[in-house]
Amino acid sequence: MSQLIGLVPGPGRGFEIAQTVVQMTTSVALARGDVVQCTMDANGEYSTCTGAGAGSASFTAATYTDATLLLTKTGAFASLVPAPRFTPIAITGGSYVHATRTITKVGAFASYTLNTTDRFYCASGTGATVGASHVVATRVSDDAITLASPGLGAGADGVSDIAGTLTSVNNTTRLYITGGTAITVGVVAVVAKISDDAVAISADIGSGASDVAFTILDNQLMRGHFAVAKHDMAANAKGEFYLSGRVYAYTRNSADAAIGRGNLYFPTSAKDLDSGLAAGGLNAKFVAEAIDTAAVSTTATRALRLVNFNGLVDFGGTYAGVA
Amino acid sequence: MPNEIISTVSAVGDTFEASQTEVLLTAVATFSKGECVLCVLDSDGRYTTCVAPTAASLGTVASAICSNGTFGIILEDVIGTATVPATARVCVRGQVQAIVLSTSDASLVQDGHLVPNTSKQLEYDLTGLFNMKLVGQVTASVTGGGGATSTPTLRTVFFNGREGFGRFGGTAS
Repeated sequence: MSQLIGLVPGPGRGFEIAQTVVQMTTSVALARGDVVQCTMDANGEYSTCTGAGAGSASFTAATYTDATLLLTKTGAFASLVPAPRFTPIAITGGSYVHATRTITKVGAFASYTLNTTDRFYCASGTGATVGASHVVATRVSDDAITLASPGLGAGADGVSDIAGTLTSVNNTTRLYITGGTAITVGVVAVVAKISDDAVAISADIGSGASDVAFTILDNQLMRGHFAVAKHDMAANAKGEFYLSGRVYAYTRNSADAAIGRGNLYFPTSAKDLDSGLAAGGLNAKFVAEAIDTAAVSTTATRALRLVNFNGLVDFGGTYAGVA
Repeated sequence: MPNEIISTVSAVGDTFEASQTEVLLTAVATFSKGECVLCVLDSDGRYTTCVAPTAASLGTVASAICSNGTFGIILEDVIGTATVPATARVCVRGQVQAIVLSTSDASLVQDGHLVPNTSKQLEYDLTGLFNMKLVGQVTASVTGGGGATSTPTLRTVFFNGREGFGRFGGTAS
């Protein structure tokens, strides 16, 4: 019989989440209540841990180009390996008919299966609107696809020099846009990695700026196992961690919104639990629910608060978004 | 005695089945066998009472914040009031009889997933229910039409109101 994390009956009626305490060696210094990510070794065992999402990286002074939905920052995307739904299909010399918004290239789309979130990133073409905002509407044949309105534009009607890449929105590679002049803050997906210096993003975040700040979100935050430090500990020290139970952990709401009882938290790269989904985005793993509440405008700064935590099994799965 | 989660027990032969987790909760309303209830989280972090699921408890996202509850299935009829609370036997996990419907009267397919609704039922029709917590699985297929599945009916399901079976993320188009 297998047994993971238990529930225990409380005094009288009711029940609660049982505490599970394990020992691990931490690679970073920790304070009581810090949230860490358990590291699996070659034997499939978790004996060490790191700060949750330690691989996240933040940048400032990036340039956003509205017309092409490109985010540019020298060297920022060198380590980024997008994992699209299918191998991107690059074409050159494609023809375009604007009346039906059809791109034609013999044999180019033979292996393609339609998903209407897919995009055609138009790199160049006479009279064409370049950029990543061209949503694919239909797969006509092995040779042709159509784009959703407005397409590449009437100015490109009849041309035969369309170059670009058909790719999928990659929701597992995400950027958290944190600021910039007239920039919409929130999580966007990387549609295509253009180079080590530029990516095309999934949503329009403004009319163009050169002071954009962003963080490449660590995908491990969506799939790891997490724990809460039971006490302060130095780097490379062995200590005790809660895998589950009613515990005090560092929590916040990155939007400075109120925290209500039962609100779900996901782990962050700053060793916190955050209830603000704009910072976590799709597939954020819910590992805790709020017991302690906090008023609006008091939650942007991390604080120790009581939560029900379960870093292994989570609370109902990952965030699936809204209709 | 500690209960268990996601525990499995061996049945006859090479197979397994989910084990049962039952709890006692305070009921301040009347509930019938098979109704799905919300286990209310108190300020101590314990679940001590049960109520009809609220809209906010189902996984709805509001202002970029998500909540969802821990759910259970009433195992026998109970009559409670605010002044005279009763004790409800509630199944949090396991194979249990719950009130199931498909609003669209679609056929129930074995292993299909179910979400709770505010009418204390398990709903099979997931249209528009993004991010809702999946808490049940159909154990026997039922052909729809003519009200066969749109009528709320006690049916045997696999239930997990604590961890659930993931969330509904929509359909690929």
